[in-house]
Amino acid sequence: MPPQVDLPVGTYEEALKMIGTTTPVRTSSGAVNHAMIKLFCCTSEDANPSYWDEEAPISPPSMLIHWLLPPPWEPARPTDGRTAPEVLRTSVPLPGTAMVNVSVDHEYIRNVRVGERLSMVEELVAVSPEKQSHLGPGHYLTTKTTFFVGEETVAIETGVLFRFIPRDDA
Amino acid sequence: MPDAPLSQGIVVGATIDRVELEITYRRMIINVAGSWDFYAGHHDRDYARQQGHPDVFANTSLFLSFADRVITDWSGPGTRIARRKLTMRLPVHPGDTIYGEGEVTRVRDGRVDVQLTIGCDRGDCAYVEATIEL
Repeated sequence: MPPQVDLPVGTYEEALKMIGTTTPVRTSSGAVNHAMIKLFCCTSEDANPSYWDEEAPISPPSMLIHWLLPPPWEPARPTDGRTAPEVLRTSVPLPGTAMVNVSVDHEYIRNVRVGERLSMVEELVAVSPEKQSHLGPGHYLTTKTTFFVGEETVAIETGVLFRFIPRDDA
Repeated sequence: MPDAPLSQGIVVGATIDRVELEITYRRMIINVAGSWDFYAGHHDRDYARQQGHPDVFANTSLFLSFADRVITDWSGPGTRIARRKLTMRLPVHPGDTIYGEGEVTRVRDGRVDVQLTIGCDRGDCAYVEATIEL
């Protein structure tokens, strides 16, 4: 079956040219809300009252990026059940046809509360030369994502992922 | 030489209690739905295999949220994760049971640094360094 996320195939040189590229500001499709917080917390069975408090719950910090993901289908963008979130980290042309997250480093400046609406900007910071890994040959991508509410920065994420050619295909 | 303990009695070397979590298909579905992360590798076994994985794999946020749970189960709900770096080592799949455990590495001015290992039967799955505000 065809992949459901089409990673753009290109060369290392093409990827290098994208360093410094920033995305347009993206704003969440809805405000931070308690129903989504509760479901998110079910995955790790996190009973932290800060998330379950009915009066003034906060967003789990690990949930920030998820407020910015698009729904898997929208009237204006029917996707036939497929989804390809428009994020910079999956838009860099490279030989690798697969990807895996390597590390993610978050600085959380303040809590994000119910009712707030998050925005984000992503920047491509670095692309490594080709490296070998147990998964196959590939390149490390470093991105910096700034999350904000209005004009106020609330968190900064530095992410590294590996774009690789799966070993069986290499 | 360890930093001076805070009034809460937290000292360098203090143990962060082990927490375990079984990774089932049901949990993978909750993971996808709860995070709006419909990347096929997290819910489509055929696609995951095409990508070199033996089965669907949990997204990074499962590790992040699990790490935060391990930390705040220990530090209490009044504390805040101010920084957290997670380095991935092994993906986890349905059938795995993951655990998280760690220790305090630094104590200073209302902030505590901790490090955790998240692992399963197959080995270490992720390493976490975090700073908590008390």
